[in-house]
Amino acid sequence: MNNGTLLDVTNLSVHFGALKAVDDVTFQVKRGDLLGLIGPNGAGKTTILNLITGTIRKTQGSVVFKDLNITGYTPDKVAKAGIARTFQITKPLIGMSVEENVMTGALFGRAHRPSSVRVAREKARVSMELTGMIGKRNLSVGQLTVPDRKRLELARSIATDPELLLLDEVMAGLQPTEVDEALSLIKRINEDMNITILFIEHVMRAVMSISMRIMVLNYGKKIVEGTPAEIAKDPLVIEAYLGKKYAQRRTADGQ
Amino acid sequence: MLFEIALNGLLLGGLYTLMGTGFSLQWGISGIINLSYGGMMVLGAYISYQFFTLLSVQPIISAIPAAIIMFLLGMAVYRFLLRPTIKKGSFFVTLIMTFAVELVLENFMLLIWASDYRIISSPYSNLAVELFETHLPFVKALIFAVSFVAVYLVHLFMSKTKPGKAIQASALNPDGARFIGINVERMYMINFAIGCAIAAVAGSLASNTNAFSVVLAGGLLGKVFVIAVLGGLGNIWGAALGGITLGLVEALGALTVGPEYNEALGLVVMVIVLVLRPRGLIGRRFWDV
Amino acid sequence: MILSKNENKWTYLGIGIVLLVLVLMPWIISGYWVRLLTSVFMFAVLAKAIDLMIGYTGYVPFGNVVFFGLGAYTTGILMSRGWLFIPGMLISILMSVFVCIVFGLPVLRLRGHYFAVATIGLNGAIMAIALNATGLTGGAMGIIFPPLAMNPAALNRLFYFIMMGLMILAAVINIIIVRSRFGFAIRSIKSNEEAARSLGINTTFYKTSSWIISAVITSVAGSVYGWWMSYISTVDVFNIMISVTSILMVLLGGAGTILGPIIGAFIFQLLSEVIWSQFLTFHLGILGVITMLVILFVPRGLVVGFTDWIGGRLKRGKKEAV
Repeated sequence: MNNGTLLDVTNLSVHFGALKAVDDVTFQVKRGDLLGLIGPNGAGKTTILNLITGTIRKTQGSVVFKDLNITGYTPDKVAKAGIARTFQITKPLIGMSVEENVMTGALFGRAHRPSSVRVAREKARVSMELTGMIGKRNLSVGQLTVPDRKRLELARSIATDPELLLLDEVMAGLQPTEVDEALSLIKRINEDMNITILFIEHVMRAVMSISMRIMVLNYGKKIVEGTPAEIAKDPLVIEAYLGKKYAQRRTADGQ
Repeated sequence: MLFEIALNGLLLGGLYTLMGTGFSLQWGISGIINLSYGGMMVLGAYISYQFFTLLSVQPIISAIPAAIIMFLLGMAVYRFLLRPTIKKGSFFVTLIMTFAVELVLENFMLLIWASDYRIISSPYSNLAVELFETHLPFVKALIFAVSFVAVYLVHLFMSKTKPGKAIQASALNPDGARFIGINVERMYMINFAIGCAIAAVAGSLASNTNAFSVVLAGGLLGKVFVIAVLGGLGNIWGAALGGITLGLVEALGALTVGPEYNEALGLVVMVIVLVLRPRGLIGRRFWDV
Repeated sequence: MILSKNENKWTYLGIGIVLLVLVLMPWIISGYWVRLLTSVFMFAVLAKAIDLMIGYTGYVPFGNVVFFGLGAYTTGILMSRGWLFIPGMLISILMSVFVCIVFGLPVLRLRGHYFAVATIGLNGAIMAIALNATGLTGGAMGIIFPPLAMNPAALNRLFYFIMMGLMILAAVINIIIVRSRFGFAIRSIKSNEEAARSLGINTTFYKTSSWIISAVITSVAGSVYGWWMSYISTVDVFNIMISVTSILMVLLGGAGTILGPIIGAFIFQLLSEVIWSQFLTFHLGILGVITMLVILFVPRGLVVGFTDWIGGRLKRGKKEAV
């Protein structure tokens, strides 16, 4: 395996009946990357995430993570291999406190560390401090605001000690200041904790400001991959979002 | 001989299909496992029996008042007992509630009719029909025909009439249905009541050939589970497949190992199907991977 | 925090006193009451066992009584062939574990609805097998256990303490599980199974393991029951009402709590005795109505309602003191 390549996705496809939700997508995620995944609604972004994490099992193509072929793995095996994910609509463990939620992440997750409850509590504390949830550790899930629920989901998934973190539209529903907080948190997770991140996002300025690279999807196909600056100018991307006429006009104006 | 047995099994399968349809509708569409289904079948039988003995209503026709009464009872049970539990979210609580309904129904029937066995005997009871050189009891053939017609009517109702389609819409996409103005909760209630009415008709029909009593309610529930599991849920073809399969299994089982193993055989087949192919022989929806 | 959220040293004192009283009971009350209490303990054990599934994984094994029957029958068959109780009981445990694995692995993958119904079928099927394998099980005639050479009072006391011991053991197992890694796994399955899986929890494994523990406890209770009664038949020990009542007890007392199922068992059994002796003909119906009332008005069970109430009073008390 190439040094530095953490996730190697080749010819990934899935279809539901006649619809090709994901069509022959190939890409790599390098260790330390902060890779953004964008595209219009229905482009297949969350489906790609679900294929990688095993939530959808009828995968065509291959997904290789650190020399391990994880294609077709069940979600728990994927998590044990070192990939964590958040959900677009958060899925907190109801009936358990914030601390217990994060501890559950710390207790399971990567296979080489079944931990004791005491050790997990300590790991949970670290996660909660990073995400600013430490003051709310004893609250029940029902008492949390929307941004708190997202922080909880983040804290819980990093408590599993992943090498790769998949984020699904974390910014959805956040106010502009909250978006800024979320952005700095994601950067910290990526830089300070050495966790590689692949994140799906709709909020453009978020994606543009922190991504090292961006991948653009449309109708299940990968249309472009590049730096934020390259993506902003790419006519295919503009066409995907704004339509052919607008794209033609922009290139005609020499932009 | 084998042919006669198989044919009898098939006829029985018709009745089983009807039984299974009601239960499957309640489970597949309203999402309720109705543990009082057996009791409702027996109650339907008793009601018909009363109309037959007291008012001299013809045996098969006496299924109609039973159906109407059970329909109304089903509406009441859903509205006052089941709906509050569904709002609270836990399916298990709803399940227990249906069990409580069964307890009350059984006690009620015991008080009125005790646990004696009854049967509707009529001039038809002893007629037989000759078909392909085999001897077929006329009543069984009649029951098969009526069951077939009843199931077909339900199918027509569900697929061609407006309320029927509204019910299906409510099951497939409750939010979407609400969005276009369908009162989803009322659809579930009507659907449940239809299931109860079907139970009553099935019980009533069965009372023409089999002696019945409150004691049998549990066993009937067991049979209807087997039918539902064998065929998969929520659709009439599944109930048909499950019903006919069970009918044949029981008939052939009676031939090979003896009729006492009836109930056991059905349950063992169900367990085997569950272990090997949990979705049932057709299998649709409501599964987790 | 062992037993409930609002406990303090008075809770422990209270429980200690209750236990002490229970230990002394057999010498104070008549044989009838000793036997009644023994059956209450047994139901408490069954309720705790089934709560391990209901209150923690969220799955409801309606037919859990199948393990009770397996325990009673396997032990009975072996003992009537000369085996001693404990080896007989251990073999019963193996039988139950085997059934759990064979049946649980495929069926626990499915949604709760299916599992609940499937276990009813499982119980029916095994009961039917027991009924029909006359050579082995005596069929409808049942099984007779070798009687114990003891006077009735001593016999009553023996089983009283065995069942009480089982009840305490079940509670201890519950306490250990709740605070362990295993406990986190099953609780998260109940909360959000998909989220649990995304965290690395093999939910099928934990559901099955939970069921195995539940089955083993139930099986032991069945073995002891058979030995106690000296005679069992299929309709007694595979009776679906046994698991249904244990579920109702869990509902009454509060699922997912340590004391809930025990309290539910006590109240339910004692109530049932009263109704049975006074209102025999309405027995079933009254049970049904009580169940309806509990579901509609005390849905989270008495323990939770009570501890919330106590907690509320304590907080108010503190405020007034300040």
